[in-house]
Amino acid sequence: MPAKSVREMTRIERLRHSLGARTFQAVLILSILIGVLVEAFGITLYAHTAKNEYTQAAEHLADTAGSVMQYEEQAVYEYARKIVQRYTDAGSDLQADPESAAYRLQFQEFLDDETWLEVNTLLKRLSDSNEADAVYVAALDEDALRFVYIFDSQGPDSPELPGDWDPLMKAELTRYLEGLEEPVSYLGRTAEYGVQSTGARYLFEVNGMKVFAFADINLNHVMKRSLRFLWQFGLLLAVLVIAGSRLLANRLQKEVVDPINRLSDAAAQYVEDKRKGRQEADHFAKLGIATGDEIENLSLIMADMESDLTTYIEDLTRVTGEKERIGAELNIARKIQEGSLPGTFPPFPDRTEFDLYASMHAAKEVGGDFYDFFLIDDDHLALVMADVSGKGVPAALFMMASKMLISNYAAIEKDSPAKILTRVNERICAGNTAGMFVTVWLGILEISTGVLKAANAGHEYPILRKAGQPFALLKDKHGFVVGGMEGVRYKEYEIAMEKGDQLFLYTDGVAEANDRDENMFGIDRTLTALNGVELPYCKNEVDAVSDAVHAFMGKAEQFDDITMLCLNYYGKETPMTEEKSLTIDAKVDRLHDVLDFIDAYLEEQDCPPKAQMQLDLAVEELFVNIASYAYPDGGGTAEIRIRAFGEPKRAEIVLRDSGIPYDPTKNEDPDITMAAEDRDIGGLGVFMVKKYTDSVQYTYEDGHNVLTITKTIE
Amino acid sequence: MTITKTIESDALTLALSGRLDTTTSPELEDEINASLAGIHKLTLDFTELSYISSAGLRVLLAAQKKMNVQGEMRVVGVNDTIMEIFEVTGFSEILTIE
Repeated sequence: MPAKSVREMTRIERLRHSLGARTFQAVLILSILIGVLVEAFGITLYAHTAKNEYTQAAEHLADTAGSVMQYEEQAVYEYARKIVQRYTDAGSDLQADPESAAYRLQFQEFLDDETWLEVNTLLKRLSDSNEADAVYVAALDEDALRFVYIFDSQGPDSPELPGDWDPLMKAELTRYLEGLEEPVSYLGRTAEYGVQSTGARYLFEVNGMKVFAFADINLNHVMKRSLRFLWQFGLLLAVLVIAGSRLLANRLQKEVVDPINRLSDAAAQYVEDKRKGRQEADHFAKLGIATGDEIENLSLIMADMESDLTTYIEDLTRVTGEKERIGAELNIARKIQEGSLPGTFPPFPDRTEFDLYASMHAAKEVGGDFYDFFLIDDDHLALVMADVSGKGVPAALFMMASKMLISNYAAIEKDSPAKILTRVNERICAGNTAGMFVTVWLGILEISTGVLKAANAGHEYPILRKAGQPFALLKDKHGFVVGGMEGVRYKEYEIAMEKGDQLFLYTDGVAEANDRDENMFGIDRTLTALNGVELPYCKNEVDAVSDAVHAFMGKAEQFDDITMLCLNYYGKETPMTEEKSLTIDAKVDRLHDVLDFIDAYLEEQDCPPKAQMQLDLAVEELFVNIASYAYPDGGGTAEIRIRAFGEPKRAEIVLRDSGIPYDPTKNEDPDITMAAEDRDIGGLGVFMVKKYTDSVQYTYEDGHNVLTITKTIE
Repeated sequence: MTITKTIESDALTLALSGRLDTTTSPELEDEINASLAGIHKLTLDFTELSYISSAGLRVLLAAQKKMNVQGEMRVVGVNDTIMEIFEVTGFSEILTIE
């Protein structure tokens, strides 16, 4: 296997590792292997056959020579006897060198013998007609291991003379002695003659020496022919192997590799098209691979898969779009819901008898909690705290309906919360197919007298603080939830609110807020948070509980809406000091005039020095903002109004300019934890304003920026 | 606002009295820019300072960034009211207050 993945390879490397190339290599190697085996087998077979054939030929020739000898048996025998006799007589010393003149002289007389010449001629003819190397008659000297020649066919080389001898191997001799009945042959290799097959036919015995007719057939030319055959056969095989593997590889290329490559190309094209967002959806189907095998099957599966995938992607796109649309709509729903709750504080800047503050943190995008407050008439303030069963969109829809119904019936029944809830319950029950309900605490404060009439439809106990005492749970009478059952009559009760009293309303999201270990925040922690507030001012109470709840929850998820409302009752007789106002050029160098104006008023009101300094700080930041940015094209003026009222006494300062619209309360708070190098001074001024006042409120009215800040000054 | 300046070799002390606000903080900024060359120790004495606004904080931040590079800066004699401003704005984490 290649060490790199296909993606990392160059084009050449890919070609080398391609299926086609590898198939060709495999087929080639296999064919060469088979070729070599076939060739080896052929050679062996050929050599074996040739050997057998020539061995037999030698035997036959020796046999023939032997038969020929029988025609002249007497003469041949006589001649042989003489030669053998002379050889024996010569003695071992003379025999030792058959080339010596003395030895040769012993046989000189036999060279003219007619028999010798005749037989030699006969043998020569036999040898020639049978393509043998030599046909001869020799006696075997078994002791000295020698052929002793008697007749010879006078081969192309010098003929062996009678009496000459050649050495005889022991194995050869043994073989010949086996052939006294039948002709035998011996295959031998000698330095002189090379590989040759010698056939032997036993004739007779003279003087204790056995005489044979021999025929030599040389196999060297046979070996040469085998070698030639080897080359020719090998060459033919090579041609066949290369042509065959080329053909096979081509076929594989066409039937396997090409279709796979087309599938792979189609897959690559598919990926690219999807990346570029093209809509084509038949990359695999249009290939039309019809190989009728697994590859066609694969291409069909790929086509099916592509079609499924296309459908799936379309579905997914649609569902995602749907989800986004729902998300966007939920966001709008949340804005509508937030907008439906009164969110401007202080809500009634002209009313000095009371102040109130409320907040809602929805757990999901839209929630089922709501608070509400509104003036029914000049002397009656309605306060609503409610919690709809369930969460999400259904709860929000139900909440909107409940809120509208309560405010509508409040306008009709005016001063009886029990009657209002009774009528609201009837209306809700009439059309309540979803079986939802809402818990409501409804109170109507008679502002002039401080009499608060209230009815509780299954809601949490309100928390009340009488002036100078701690906050405590007010265990009022509960009626059944609104929307739960038809015909419920709600009862109401009265609380006498006195100067400095505070009322705190909330939903179960406060007391039942969980930390990560599922512990509940509880009423006791709520009371502790409320009683820990130093300056009894409605926003401070709500913020204190909100901070305590969030600190308690830590990183746990908020699973219910957290909604609170706090009312401060100051009473009717609270004096309102005379309002003073200053209109001045919006220039930084007039800052000290502005601060002198503010300081003079606050000193008259016995404002503590720390509160005065903090108000100075807030006014400076806001005035400098106006002076620096409100009039980019040149001069303009700013109006500063100040008054004090309430119990405890609060100062309210209004800054008004006709410059470009700008709402500083929308500024992001700066990150005050950064190191000096990373800090930017921007936004710090407005941040300090928010920190040092009880409330900052911005409106744009009649072409004017109007900023109102309030702060308790006692 | 008045600024009293004392130099001992590479140590500069600026004692402020009065109000450090939008109109007066440019004076302090000019003073610091003019005197800081070769200074390794800058001490700001707030004993007589009664008031500081975001414009004053801006000058303090700029001075702190400069002194981070060339030495050290201390703020001394901070009263409770101004200390609270430092704490609310996170400046107590940046400045060395003694």
